[in-house]
Amino acid sequence: MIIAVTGLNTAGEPEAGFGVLQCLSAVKASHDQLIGLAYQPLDAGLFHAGLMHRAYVMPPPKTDRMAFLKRITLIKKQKGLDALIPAVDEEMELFIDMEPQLRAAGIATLLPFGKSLRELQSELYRQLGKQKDADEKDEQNDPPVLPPALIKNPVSEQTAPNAAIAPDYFSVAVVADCRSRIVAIASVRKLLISRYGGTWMALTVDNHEFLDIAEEMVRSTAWQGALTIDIARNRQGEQFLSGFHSTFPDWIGLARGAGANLPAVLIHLIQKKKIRGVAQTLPGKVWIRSSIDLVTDLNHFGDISLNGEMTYDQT
Amino acid sequence: MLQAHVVITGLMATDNPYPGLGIARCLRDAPEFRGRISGFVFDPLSTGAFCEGVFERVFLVPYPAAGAEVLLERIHEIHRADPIDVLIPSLDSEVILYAQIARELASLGIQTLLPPVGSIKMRSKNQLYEFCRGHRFRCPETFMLNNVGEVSARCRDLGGAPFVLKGALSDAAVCHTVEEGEYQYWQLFHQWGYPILMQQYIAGEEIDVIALADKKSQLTGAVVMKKFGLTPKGKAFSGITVEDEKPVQLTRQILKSLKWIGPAECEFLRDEKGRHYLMEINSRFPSWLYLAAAAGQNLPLLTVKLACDMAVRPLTSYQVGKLFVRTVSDALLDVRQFMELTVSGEVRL
Repeated sequence: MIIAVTGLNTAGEPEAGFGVLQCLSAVKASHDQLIGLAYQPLDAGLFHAGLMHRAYVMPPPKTDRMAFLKRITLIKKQKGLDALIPAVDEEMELFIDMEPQLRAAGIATLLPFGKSLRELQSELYRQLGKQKDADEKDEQNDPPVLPPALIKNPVSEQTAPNAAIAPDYFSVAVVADCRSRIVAIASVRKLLISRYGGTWMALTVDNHEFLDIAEEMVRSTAWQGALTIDIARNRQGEQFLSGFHSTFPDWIGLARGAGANLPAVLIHLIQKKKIRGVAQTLPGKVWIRSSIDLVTDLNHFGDISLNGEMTYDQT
Repeated sequence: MLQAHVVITGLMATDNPYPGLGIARCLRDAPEFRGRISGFVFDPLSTGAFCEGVFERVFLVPYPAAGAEVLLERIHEIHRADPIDVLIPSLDSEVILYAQIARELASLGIQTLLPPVGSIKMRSKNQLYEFCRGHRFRCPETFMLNNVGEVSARCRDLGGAPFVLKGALSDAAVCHTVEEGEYQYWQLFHQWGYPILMQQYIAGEEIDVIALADKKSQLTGAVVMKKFGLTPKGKAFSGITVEDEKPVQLTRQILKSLKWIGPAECEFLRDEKGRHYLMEINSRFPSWLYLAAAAGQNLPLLTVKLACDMAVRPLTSYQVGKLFVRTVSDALLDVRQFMELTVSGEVRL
């Protein structure tokens, strides 16, 4: 099977595509091929040798949807392409709109419906409203809106002064089938979050605490495909939906390491394979992300820029 | 063959990484380095400490704010159990601390390659302008602001807007009006405290030089890098080695004048007339140091050799057109192993 994944920008606030490719790379059969779809020739994921067979620099669908469709159809015709996993949250609505054209071209996806996406957005606003009300009630004794628990001062490295009273941040990633049943789940507590919201350290926790919330979300919105739900828990143990992503999270590599390869499950669903039970992560695994520099030379970068594609050595 | 137990600090490696992990990767890449590498962290959440295949042991040490005495006590304790040969601090706030205890460390048998405390102070943001004036290095005119009311007066002294306001430790803002300057003054004050510096605005391109000076303040290696890509938040995530003799010569003279010893980074702006202005000196390796090693100058390896008084031939060339791209590396640990660092103050990886 030939699978394409977007979201290869791993600088600053890494996109999820890198982790999705790592997960798929771990289970791929010898005849499977992984394709990276980048939007910039400097997207750092392009420089990870050994992760993909080929990569393309694509016209971003948000600026030119037709150009994207034209290019992806050409790739399908020339080199083959069976399935596509979008891994950038902001582009999901566009991919939902393009799904009929992708299907007509023979490129399979498992994306939520536009209506599901809008319902989830409404639910988020309802929850944020609830949180605001609770904060206002609490205002006399507690500070109102609290920052993520472990955001650091970049120079002093001291934890934010009000960390002791900040809430805990959890994140739950699921894969739902086309009947809106959860077939894979991974739950983590975020231990370190960057100033811009990227996850740099996370710990898998017991999924049972979050399965009910996730099932309720998936059922009520008739969700299918990947979904990430961010949950904040305050000192009183009250939980609030603090965000959601219609894609896999940036920490998805942890799910594989903890025993549940969610991107592989999504591919099984796309392939219409029968899935028994619910794939679940084990608690107690810590995932730690470090920023590192890869070095290449200008000619290599020039090749990607000029040709818009790159084939990687598989030996 | 170089066999030494090297300890490296500055291992936080998130979106704005410190150089510690890069230093360790350079040593791991050097075929002649056959020693062991350990890390010192004052925060168990220092992600780079856990990067796969880099550090063998990680030790928890006191925060720099605790002072030199407490730090020395902890190093003594670690050194008794697992003797250290060379120590490379890699945060500005730590370099001065380690420089203060360099003699005590040497008496324990722990070698360092650090500048004198006076040189470190002279390169600080609020003294750099005076240093440059005294030694005739080109540098933007700089004032220290004592209160927000001075923004307007100093703006006139600088010949009007635009001008630059700089925070005490980090961050800078180009201001186009006095009002904007007054607003940015408070932004920088709340983020970084005093002093706030006001600087003449120079239009030009940024050129950074990574450098290493030996114990006689002679330049032993230098690589010039130009930033190539910025994140939406304005941080460089890519850079390229370029051939440019002028900033290397300037760096050589600056480090000599400063009586500098050890790693440094000189940041220059080159204006349209080709004049280089010294903007900043960092008292450590920059986070992009891995590029220099890949281009032919493994400066962390030279640092270890110089610290151990081994003979070193200065590096004078490097490959031009090498490009670094910042990305991520993920590691997985069992929570019990991860907690060991917090519970017992050290972990074997």
